[in-house]
Amino acid sequence: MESLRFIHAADLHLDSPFRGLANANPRLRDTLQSATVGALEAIVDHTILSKSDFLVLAGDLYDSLDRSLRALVAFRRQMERLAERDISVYIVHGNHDPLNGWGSDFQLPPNVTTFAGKPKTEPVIRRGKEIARVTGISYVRERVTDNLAAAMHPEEDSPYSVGVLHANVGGQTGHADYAPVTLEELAGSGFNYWALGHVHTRSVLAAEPVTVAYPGNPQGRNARETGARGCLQVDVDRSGRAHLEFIEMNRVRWEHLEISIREISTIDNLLTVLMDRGREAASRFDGPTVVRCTLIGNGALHRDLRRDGVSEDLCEQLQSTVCTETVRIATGPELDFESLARTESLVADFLKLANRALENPEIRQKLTDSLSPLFRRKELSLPDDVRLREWIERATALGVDLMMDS
Amino acid sequence: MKIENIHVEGFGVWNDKTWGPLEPGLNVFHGPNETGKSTLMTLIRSILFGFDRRGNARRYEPLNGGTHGGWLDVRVEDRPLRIERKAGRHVRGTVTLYDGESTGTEAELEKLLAGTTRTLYHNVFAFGLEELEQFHTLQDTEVAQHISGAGLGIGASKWASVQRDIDARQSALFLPRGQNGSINVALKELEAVREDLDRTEHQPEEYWAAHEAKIRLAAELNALEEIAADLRQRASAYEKRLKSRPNIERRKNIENTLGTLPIVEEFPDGGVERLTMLRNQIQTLQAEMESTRREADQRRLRRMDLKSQADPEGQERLSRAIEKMRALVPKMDASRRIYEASIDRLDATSQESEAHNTALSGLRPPSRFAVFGFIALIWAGTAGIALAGHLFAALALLAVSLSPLWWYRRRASAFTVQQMKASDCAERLNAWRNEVRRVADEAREIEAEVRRLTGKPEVMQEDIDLRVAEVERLSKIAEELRRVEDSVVRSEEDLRRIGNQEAERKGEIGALLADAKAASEQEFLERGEAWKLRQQLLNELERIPVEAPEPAMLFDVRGNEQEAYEATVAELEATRQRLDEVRHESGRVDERIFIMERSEERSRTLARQELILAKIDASSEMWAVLTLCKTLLDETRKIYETERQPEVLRQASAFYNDMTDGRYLRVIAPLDGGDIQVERSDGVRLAPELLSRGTAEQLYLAMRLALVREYAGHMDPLPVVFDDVFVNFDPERTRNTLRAVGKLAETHQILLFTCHPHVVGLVEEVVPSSRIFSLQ
Repeated sequence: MESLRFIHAADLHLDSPFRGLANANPRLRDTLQSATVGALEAIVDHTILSKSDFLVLAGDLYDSLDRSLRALVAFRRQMERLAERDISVYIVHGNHDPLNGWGSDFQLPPNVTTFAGKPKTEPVIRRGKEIARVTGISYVRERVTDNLAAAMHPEEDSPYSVGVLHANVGGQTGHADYAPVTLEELAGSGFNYWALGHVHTRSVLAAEPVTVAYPGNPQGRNARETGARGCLQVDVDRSGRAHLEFIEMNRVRWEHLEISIREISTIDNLLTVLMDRGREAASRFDGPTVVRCTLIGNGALHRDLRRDGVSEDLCEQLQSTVCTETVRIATGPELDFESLARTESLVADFLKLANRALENPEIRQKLTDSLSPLFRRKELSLPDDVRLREWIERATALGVDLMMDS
Repeated sequence: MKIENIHVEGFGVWNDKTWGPLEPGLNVFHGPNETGKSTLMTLIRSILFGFDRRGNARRYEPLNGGTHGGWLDVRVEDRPLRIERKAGRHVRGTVTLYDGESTGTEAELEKLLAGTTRTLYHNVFAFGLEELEQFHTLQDTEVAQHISGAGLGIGASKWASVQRDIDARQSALFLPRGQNGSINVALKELEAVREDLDRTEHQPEEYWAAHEAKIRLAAELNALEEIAADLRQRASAYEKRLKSRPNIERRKNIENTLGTLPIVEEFPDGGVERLTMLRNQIQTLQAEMESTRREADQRRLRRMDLKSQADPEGQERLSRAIEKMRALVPKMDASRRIYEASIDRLDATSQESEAHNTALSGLRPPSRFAVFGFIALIWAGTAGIALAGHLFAALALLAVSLSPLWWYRRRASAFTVQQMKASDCAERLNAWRNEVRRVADEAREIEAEVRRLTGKPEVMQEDIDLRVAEVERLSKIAEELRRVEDSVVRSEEDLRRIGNQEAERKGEIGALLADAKAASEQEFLERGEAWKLRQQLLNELERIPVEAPEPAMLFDVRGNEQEAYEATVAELEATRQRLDEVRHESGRVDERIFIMERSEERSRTLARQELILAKIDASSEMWAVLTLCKTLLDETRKIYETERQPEVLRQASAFYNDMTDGRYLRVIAPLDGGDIQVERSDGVRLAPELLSRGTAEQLYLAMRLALVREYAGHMDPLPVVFDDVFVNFDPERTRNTLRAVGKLAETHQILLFTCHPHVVGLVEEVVPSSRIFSLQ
């Protein structure tokens, strides 16, 4: 076969809003707002400059629910740039931009192949010669719980087969279990490369002989999507081996700083640490970086941090060093809960009650009931167990803290 | 601690008095009012906790002598001790603790009391009706701690402040029906943002719609442009036709006229004009001929007249005479002048001859000898002188001698010249005399000639003038005659010429007519007229544009042409207007698409929504934590209230249950420090103030009994002192109460003061083991 090069990206979520930018200055806010589109632009730039043969986008290019015309127009503009250079693009739709969703009928230039709800295979032609075939399938609706990969088969005479799929491989938690499929199934499907999308964190699930990879989203959109993000440049040599190179594309980086207060005794010291860490985080990327700081650990400083407005103050102070989303305070008092629980005291009763709150259906019900006045509202939803547990832990710490405070 | 003996040194009414030994269980001190029951009770309190402040009635300074104070013999954990308090430096007095050999002070006493404070003792252990009636004595922090869970490590006020803290923070974030909580505010903002989103939600549909409209408008534009082009073509065709209508009509007229005209195929160019010209010329020629003929006749007549007058010979003769005469006149004059001049010259010459002769006589010279002699003389003298040696004088004399010599020579020559002149003059005189004679001859001849011509001796000017005038007259006539003869010749030539010309013109006319194929001039003129008209019409016809016939455009009725044209123009105008509208609309749609494609409104609103959602998320998380905390605390409280009520309240419940004979089941102390509540047998919870006085007092007593028992867990219990607290109890409840007291007396020493004999009776009945002291 001939060697070839293509770019694999996914989960662009074009023009989807960023979370938690209350403190960003307006200029940065604009940068952030246009960051997803900027990342696509960077991908297209790279596709052109790297002389790649084609571009694969594995779903969730935009959010149908946002109904952002700007996203579609921006997407079309970038596709037109590739069309001008005669570079093919292969697209599948994912759960955020399903075929029945808004915008999927937007007119795109002819170099873009959009796969439908049934698998189809398209040849990639370079200078009149077929170099690869791309097979893809799109989500017809948002929730696809069928194994879409099962319907995808490579053609036998294909020089190099690329499968494009938006799916949760191996039931990864934290992402909706759509188009579920196991890694083994993919590895045994006969495709040479599985261009996946859906999971926002970059990961190469398998390298050889079949490559299965999530490129991650090219632009982190909230404080949980941290670090360098971009696309994969796939170079396939004459022997059919794929060499993957990650190329950073994000216009803005998110970083999460977890800082323990265990060893910090004063707010001033804490601020120094925050600023040092913030500066260090910002220095890692040659562009805007937004950080979220979470203060953790138990320590004497907890008492000072517990006051109202401290989080906002710290955030404000930190802005001068690095753009800060929030400073979250998840610290605890300097108390030994375990020994406290062993005492004959109201605090011990409280601790014991809290510890078995999730397991005790009655108390659990009472807890969720107490949350319902706010969380039954349509804007919010009741927390899952993980979240509820976390909250109960924080509530426990708060209760003990308040009761033990003299 | 059990009191064995009580001794008063001096305290109120009491002095130097001892009671004992006391039972470790129930001891009743009875006596009528004012026997010092309360004083004794106060004594016990004072020994343990010190005297009351000065001025306080309960300080009980001794009234009947003795040192202020007293002692108690007590047994603590089977260890006998004496606690003695006397007035001292300090207001509370000085205490001395006797423990076998050693003594102790306040510090040791405090150890014995195990942290029980004066207030606690007052409120719980040693109290009268006054304290019992007042619930607040139980609300004292120290006491309340025991009631509401001080034993669990948290006080009611703390609990309440925790509750308040959480409530405040919770409501700052969110209240289910609130307005000002930050989540409430954010939710309201979110609502507004969602409205904005709803508003822009259809923007994409508008965008598609705009796209469709764009396509539709483009199609309409195309169609309209085609229609407009067609209409334009038709209108211009109509217009052309309308413009060409007069032409067509005119053409038709011309063609008709041409049909009526005689057919003249050919006609010489400008024939009529030429004919007219020729005829005019002939006329002129004829007129000229006439005048020339007349002139010629006149000229012939004149010639005859002049011929008769003319005399060429006379004229010749006269002319010659005139010439001769004119020649004689100067001849005569000349001969006369010559004659006169000859005479003059003769006269002059004769005069000259005479002069010469005279001169000659005057110039006769002296003889030569004389002269030479003289000179010789001189020269002799000279030579003498020179010889004499006078050379210079000799030379001067020689020079002077030369001048007479020069004079003589000059006189001799002048004389000779004069002689010659006189001879010449005599010759000339002779010649002049001959001349005079010849001239006189010539003059006579000329005179003869004149006489012959004029008959007069002399020629006069008038004679010449007369003859000249005659010659001139004659020559003029001759001249005119010549001219007239010339003009006659010319006239004849003219006549011939004119005749020729006329004939020529006539010939031309003939040719012209022949050219026009006309037999006569009249016919010629008629044909010429017809030809001219025809030519004019044909020319005009040529200038009228010929329209190509357009069958499709033929109008049904000629009269509708204008209407159809106007209708088409109107239709075209309408189409143009519609085109303009459509173009405008298309432009607007394009602009809208442009704006929508670049609109950031929705993105911004979505971002704002996220912002608010993030705020809500963060705040609601905080609220959730607070709420969960509150719920957990509440659950803890419930557990506490049902399962983990302080021992005190459980004890109190038991006592109270007994006292009220099961009418009231439980005493509950809410965890948040609220008032104690009682649970009636029917499950109704009541606040103490809702109970009757007696029942309330029973409750408070039960609680005190319970508290007393509570303290049992902490130390060797202090003795309990009741000062007539059953006053408001009915007999049944009194009995029940005494039964409860009896129960407590199993573990605690109790000193019961009463002034009621029936109480003493009841005690003896209910608690037989009790000991009765009379204070009387």
